[in-house]
Amino acid sequence: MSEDPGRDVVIFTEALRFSAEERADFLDRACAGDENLRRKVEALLRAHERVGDFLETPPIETGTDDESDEGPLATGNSNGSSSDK
Amino acid sequence: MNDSPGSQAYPMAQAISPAGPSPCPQAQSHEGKFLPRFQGTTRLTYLRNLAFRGNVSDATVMLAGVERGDPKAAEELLALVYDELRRIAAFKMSHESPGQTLQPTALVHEAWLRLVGNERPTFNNRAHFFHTASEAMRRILIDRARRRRTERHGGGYVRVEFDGFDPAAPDADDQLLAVHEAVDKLALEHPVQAQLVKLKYFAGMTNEEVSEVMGVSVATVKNYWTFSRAWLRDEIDGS
Repeated sequence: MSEDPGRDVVIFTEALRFSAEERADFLDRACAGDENLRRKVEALLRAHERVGDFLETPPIETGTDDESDEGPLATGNSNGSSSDK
Repeated sequence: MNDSPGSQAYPMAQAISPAGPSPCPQAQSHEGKFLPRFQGTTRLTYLRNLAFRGNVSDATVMLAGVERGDPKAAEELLALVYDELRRIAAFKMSHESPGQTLQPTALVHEAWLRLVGNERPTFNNRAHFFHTASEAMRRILIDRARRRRTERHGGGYVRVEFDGFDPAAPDADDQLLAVHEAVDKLALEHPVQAQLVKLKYFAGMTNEEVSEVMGVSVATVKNYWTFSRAWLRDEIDGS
């Protein structure tokens, strides 16, 4: 896959390699006066600081539903499976 | 993929492939060889009864269609995988102890095995399958979260059927739906990164698996994942 990931992806990724003190200088150089891009990347860097364990756990847990007597094949919802969005 | 981490990703697929293109129930006596990771008779019986019931070639035909760019084949494959994932989940939940965690990645891999895994698929087939499965998994989870939310918000008559998918807390449902919407926005600007989120978050795949399916390095997967989480966090927080 050789798609261009986009400048915000590249600059954000690169910026993470710099310490907080060095980051402003790096962004000056990398964004080269593109204020829009710089605001975008700075917002992403702030979001990164508070990302915590966001999305690290896939969103499934089992329940202890007491409805498990329906059997494995009784629950399929074979309609509407590809029309929903 | 001999010694790459990816070779650990589909051990069952490799184990089952010696059965050839059309394994049959007569192979039962060798099942210990073909299905080394299954323990206990319940799951073996389940696989024996269901694995070869005809969908194998359906999925392969659909995958070939997807590769030709046939949009109908992509839709059919999605419907097939969607139903299969639900069946597997329901089966697991009715046969395993309560409270056990259902792993999306295990469901996806089992669906792969049951639908395609013994047909010696091409790399592209496998990539298409896992992309499709991650989308199917996303839809299953979203459908489920929406039903639960409707039920909580006064629509108590809407019965949430048991299907093994149970994002337990209301907060979890809300986050799931928020992420779902944000991923659609991410896809407009960064389709590759959005696809990666589906594979990792909704289908629970490891970095190595995603690397293989997307054809990018593990380092790139990690970088894109870090970016995508920040992007989605920013989007959801509305800053």
